[in-house]
Amino acid sequence: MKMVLVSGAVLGWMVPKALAHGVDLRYEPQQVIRITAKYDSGQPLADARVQVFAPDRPQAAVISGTTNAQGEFQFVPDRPGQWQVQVRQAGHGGWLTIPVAPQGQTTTAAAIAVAPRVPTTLSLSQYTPAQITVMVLAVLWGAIGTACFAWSRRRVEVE
Amino acid sequence: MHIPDGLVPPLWCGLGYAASGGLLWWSCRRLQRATVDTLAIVPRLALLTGAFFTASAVYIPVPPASVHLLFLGSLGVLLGEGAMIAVVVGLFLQAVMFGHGGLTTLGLNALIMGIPALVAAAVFRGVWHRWPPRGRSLLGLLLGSGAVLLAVFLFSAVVILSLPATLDQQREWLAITAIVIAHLPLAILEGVVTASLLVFLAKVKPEFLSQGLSFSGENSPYPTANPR
Repeated sequence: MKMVLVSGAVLGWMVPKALAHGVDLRYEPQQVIRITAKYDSGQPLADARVQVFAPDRPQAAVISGTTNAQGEFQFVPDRPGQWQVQVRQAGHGGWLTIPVAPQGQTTTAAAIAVAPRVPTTLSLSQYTPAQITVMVLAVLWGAIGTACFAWSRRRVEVE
Repeated sequence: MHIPDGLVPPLWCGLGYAASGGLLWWSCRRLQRATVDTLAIVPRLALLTGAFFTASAVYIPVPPASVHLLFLGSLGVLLGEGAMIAVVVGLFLQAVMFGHGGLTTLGLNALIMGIPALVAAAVFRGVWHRWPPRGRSLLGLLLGSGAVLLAVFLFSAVVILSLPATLDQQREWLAITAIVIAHLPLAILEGVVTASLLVFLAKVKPEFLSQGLSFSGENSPYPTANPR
């Protein structure tokens, strides 16, 4: 009888210890925002400083870091709203506004609805060579027109 | 080498607009006083503004980024004080159409590009008549390269001085050094372009260069304007 009681006591003391070796693994899907920063030439903006501002805290960055060699940076937004991201390196860079939908909704759909996934900052790389050529020619045509106008007005005045 | 929107504090943007506005007003005033015929400079101003804008679309890949032509030395030589007007108009078009720089930083960018062009104009005006003809290419090289290097220096100064305290200063310094080094080939190229332009115009149309010095009512910049 004594043996049974001692054995029970020992087991009662050891079992919780044995259970403590178990690991509770869970998962929770989260929205990850990935930013890609590149120069007009297509070269990645590597090792650039990134500051992320939460929707309700526009004054102080809640997340800071640097881009990797591919010019990429990832962060996990913890609340919905308009997140502001600043990427900068030696006077180059810009701002990005990222709409984050509440939990349960797909951010991508909201993002596409609010801001289509195109570069938010105007860049020469957005245009095709034909478009750039047309823009340059349009400005040159304007310059030549202005020159001709001033020239003809002046000739009339002289004559 | 344009500062984009959002990287510089609003106070800096305001100061940039105030300073470049003052410089623009001074340039216009000087041009108005220097010539009886204000229409005389408009064709040249318009064409060189177009050239300045077009040059910004010409990329030269220099890792880590790419640089584009500026022609600041040439603008200073050919336009005198008018270079500031060409720079402001050209930068506005670049910001709106190409995204080079921003509208809030237009004033700062105009200072960064305009001051070197005006310095080149002042140096050219001071030494051109006393400069030996054989050394004209050297003068062009100095003006073209010097204007680019001064612009890079001003750009770096604005970026460094406006850096927020939260940023890693050493990392930014390294990145700025890389940008400065990347612009050295451009400085040499622009020096060669300005030297070629000076030598060519001195041979073919020397009066075109002297008109850049002062637009007097006595010397008509355009021969066709004279009735025959």
